[in-house]
Amino acid sequence: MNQGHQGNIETGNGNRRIHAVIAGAGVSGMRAAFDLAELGHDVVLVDKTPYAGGILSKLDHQFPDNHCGMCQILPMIDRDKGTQICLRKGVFHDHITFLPQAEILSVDGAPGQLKVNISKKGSGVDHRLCTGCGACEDACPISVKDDFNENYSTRKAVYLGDPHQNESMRAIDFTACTRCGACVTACPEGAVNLEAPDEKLALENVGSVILATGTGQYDPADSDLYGFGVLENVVTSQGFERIISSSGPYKGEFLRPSDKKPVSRIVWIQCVGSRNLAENADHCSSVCCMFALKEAVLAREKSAGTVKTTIFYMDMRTFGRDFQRYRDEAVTKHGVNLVRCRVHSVEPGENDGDLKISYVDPNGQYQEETADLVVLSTGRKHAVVRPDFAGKDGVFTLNERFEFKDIAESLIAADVAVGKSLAFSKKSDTDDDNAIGRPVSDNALVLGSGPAGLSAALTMAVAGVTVDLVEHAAEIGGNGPSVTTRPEKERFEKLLRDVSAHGGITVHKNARLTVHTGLPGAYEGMLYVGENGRETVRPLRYGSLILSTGGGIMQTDRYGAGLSNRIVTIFDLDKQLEEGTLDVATLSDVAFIQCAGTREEPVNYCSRVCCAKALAGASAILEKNPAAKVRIFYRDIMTYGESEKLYTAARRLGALFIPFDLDGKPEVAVDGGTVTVKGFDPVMQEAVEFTPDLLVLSTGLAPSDTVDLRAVIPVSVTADGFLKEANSKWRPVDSGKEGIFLCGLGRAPMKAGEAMDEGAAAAMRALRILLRKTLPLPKVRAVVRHSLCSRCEACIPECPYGARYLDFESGRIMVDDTSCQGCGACASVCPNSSVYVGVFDEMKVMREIEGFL
Amino acid sequence: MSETETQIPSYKPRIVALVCNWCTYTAADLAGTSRLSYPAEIRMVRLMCTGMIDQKYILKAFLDGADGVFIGGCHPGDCHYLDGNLKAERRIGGTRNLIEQFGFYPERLKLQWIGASEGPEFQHHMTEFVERIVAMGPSQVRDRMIL
Ligand SMILES: Cc1cc2nc3c(=O)[nH]c(=O)nc-3n(C[C@H](O)[C@H](O)[C@H](O)COP(=O)(O)OP(=O)(O)OC[C@H]3O[C@@H](n4cnc5c(N)ncnc54)[C@H](O)[C@@H]3O)c2cc1C
Ligand code: SF4
Ligand code: FES
Repeated sequence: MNQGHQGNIETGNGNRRIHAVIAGAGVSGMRAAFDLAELGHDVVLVDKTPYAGGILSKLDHQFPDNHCGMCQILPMIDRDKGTQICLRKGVFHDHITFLPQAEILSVDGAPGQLKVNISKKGSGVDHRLCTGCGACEDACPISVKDDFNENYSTRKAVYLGDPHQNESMRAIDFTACTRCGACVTACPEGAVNLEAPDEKLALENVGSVILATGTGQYDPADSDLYGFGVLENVVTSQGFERIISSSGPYKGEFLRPSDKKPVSRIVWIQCVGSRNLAENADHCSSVCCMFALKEAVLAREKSAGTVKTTIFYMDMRTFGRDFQRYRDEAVTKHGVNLVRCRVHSVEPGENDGDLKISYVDPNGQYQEETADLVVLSTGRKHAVVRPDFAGKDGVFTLNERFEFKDIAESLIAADVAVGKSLAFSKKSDTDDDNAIGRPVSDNALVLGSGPAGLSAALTMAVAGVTVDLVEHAAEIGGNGPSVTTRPEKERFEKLLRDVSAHGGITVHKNARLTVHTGLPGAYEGMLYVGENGRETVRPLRYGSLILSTGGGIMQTDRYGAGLSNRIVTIFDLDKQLEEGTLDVATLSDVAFIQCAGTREEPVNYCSRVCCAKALAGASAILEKNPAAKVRIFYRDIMTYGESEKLYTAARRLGALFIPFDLDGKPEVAVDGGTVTVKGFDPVMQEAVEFTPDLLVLSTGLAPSDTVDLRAVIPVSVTADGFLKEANSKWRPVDSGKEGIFLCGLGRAPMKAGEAMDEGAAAAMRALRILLRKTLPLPKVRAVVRHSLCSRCEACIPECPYGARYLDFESGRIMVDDTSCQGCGACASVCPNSSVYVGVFDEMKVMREIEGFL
Repeated sequence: MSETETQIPSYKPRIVALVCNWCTYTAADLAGTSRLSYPAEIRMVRLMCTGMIDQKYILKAFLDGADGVFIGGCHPGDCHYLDGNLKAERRIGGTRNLIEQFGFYPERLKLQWIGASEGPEFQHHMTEFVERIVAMGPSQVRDRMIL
């Protein structure tokens, strides 16, 4: 097992070349490391904490499925180079040197030959000698607050940073240690050394540096909001995650900190430290709404529905593809209460430990609520200090704007940075490429040439593989030319130029794929091209396939759509404003209706782009014509991240916001040239009626129809017709089949910048295959003993990776060794015991059982 | 045909636990590091996934004299191999009927989902299972011709 080359790391000269030093071992840093390791590149992964995993190591369950599954980011190709074990135990891979308690001090030199200085704290425990017996911890007389458990429990001065970690990874907290020497005496291996000096490592000839240091978290103690730090039962979201964790301070029992009494009423307060102009926080932290919903659902589930959960929010921002349904279920299935309001204060309640929350409800009435626990949904830090080498050539920052991202978005950002780092590729001389295995074609196929497809094609071409870029339409670009926002527009235009100029990319217009067969790394297909009335059929060979099939504007007949030329879609308005064809000066009354046909069944998702466009449009109108009345009917304004500034700007310019819910939707009537909008104003508590000159409907986005494509390629779709990924958290751009990747609007509603990032991420995943000469044979994989196999085919549907197939030429059941992950599902259904799975041979397991009894 | 209940005073049950490599094994480890002790009678066989468990393994254990077989896997949705645990659940339902036909109480076979962070749950379920088996007494397989 690779214990992370503790302390004796090579310097980068000699035959081990360091492709990248990655700072931050959260999920994105780990993902970057695994992607590169899978390609055979050596990387050094550093984290300032004593463990890997970042924030995620403290969360047992993550939305949107409320499961874990972190292990799904482990490499799937060449699995033998890493330890197959839960990632919470540590990062163990031949190509990854993990340095805990380490930070980058400086980066000098040119990309490809960087000099990286790292400081590493002495852990006090020699991990090569330590057997993990824990005698030191038992002997240690010091007890301090455990920051892993957000200070709700205590630990010793010699401790495991993360309780899941491999036991031999204990470290000494020298700020707490009194050097009493009890642990030195106790250790039977002589592994403890209280003089352990800090180390300085100078790495040379490093390809690049990847900064995956995440986003600092807002600390409510900074501004003594809502009594945090004074009232013990006011906790942060992270504190709550620890409180409900089985490995947490109360061993999974639902207790409140002040008196350890069982909790029966919990209140969440959203946007603490975010969306707060008084605190100069004109941003949304993007993930807190979802994690609050998740925490409330977990609380309901863990307590079998006995705990009352209420979330106080301003807008419930569930803008991810399947998140609206998640929210609906939280309310209808799990019984979470959502209250739109502004919280005034949190004070001690009548009984000791209780908390009294006062707020102003949607009808403008003052209300009070009592709870045992108040959870502050704290978002990201307001400003993050970047290290001075952040902007340097060859240093790639995952999250330039330090936005808070969910897991999938974090992983996508990691893949994007990894793709960029390939420009300064460094590879050690290893046996990787000489390994026996199936040869790989270094040509890629991309279907769909919108921003995502173009970005995927260019990323792969720059990395040195050839690309066939296939487009149904007569021109490439997809919805790219409709992009009006900056800098996405310029980014797209440059992409289009670069793709057209790149010799490695062959564009096929008016074309479609009609046949697709073969195995990952070696597919064959047939392209049907109908150009200028001439129809041709072309064979193709490719190692990976990327589907970037995109989508378009959602069609709706609600709210009078199409009934009057005074009623337009948000996309029409956007175009007219961009082209300057709308006579804004003549408008006196404009109304917008958000979520016009979306976020309710059957089209129950947020399209992510409409709120930002509507607010930008409203501001553009009000800037040129301040006298105009602009009213926006909305359910939740989804200006996540920095786009919150658009919301603030529109409010400042005087746009009026009228919330509605599905029971009280605005009604639109068209009578000749007059459009009437009727609604209800909850603040004034009265019915309102307007006759706008222009009614703008935010109709949203929809995926392309992929029925024909799916007859050829084995991919599935969600209830809304979006291409479905292998796992929406951990494998967002992988399809269920190795070798086939998904990106862009065809997979989920998204903005153009997000689509271009996803394209690059999908390309990176495809390059894991394309940049290899051969695909290796893993040890733990299913093997068929053909002499025993009766061709019953029971195994084929059982394989979760689609690795098994009937080979028509030989008439045999075959296993694709690359797709097979060695789970053994096939072996346990085989009636003839014709399958064995690597080291888990049936006879061996039987002997092991026999030995025990 | 069924077992008879006899209580042997110094009885130490023999229990085989088939656990998946990902969640349940991690929980077992966590219980260990967190000093949550569980009965020493448990003999753990680590497999990649519960979906890998062949009925034969369970039968073999019972026929070789195990008093109980515990199967531990990831919670539904958490399986490293997507749905191996659900396949196991389906199959083990059938195995329960089968062992009953062989003359064993079906309660001697238990399937439990235990997540990676659930050290305390691991301890709890193991202890409870051992108590259950102790209460049931030893499996009579070796003394009786039940085949
Ligand atoms: C309470 C809470 C609940 C959440 N729930 C969910 C959920 O259910 N689902 C979901 O999708 N998302 C959830 N999120 C969001 C999720 O945590 C993020 O998507 C994810 O953690 C981002 O990963 P990252 O690697 O970019 O950053 P982090 O997880 O923050 O990792 C960054 C790492 O870098 C290290 N580091 C920082 N600075 C340095 C330095 N200078 N040198 C070396 N190392 C450094 C840190 O120690 C850390 O290990 C939640 C977030 C919170 C706070
Ligand atoms: S079912 Fe068999 S072929 Fe498929 S991944 Fe599992 S072990 Fe491999
Ligand atoms: S991996 Fe744990 S049950 Fe499948």
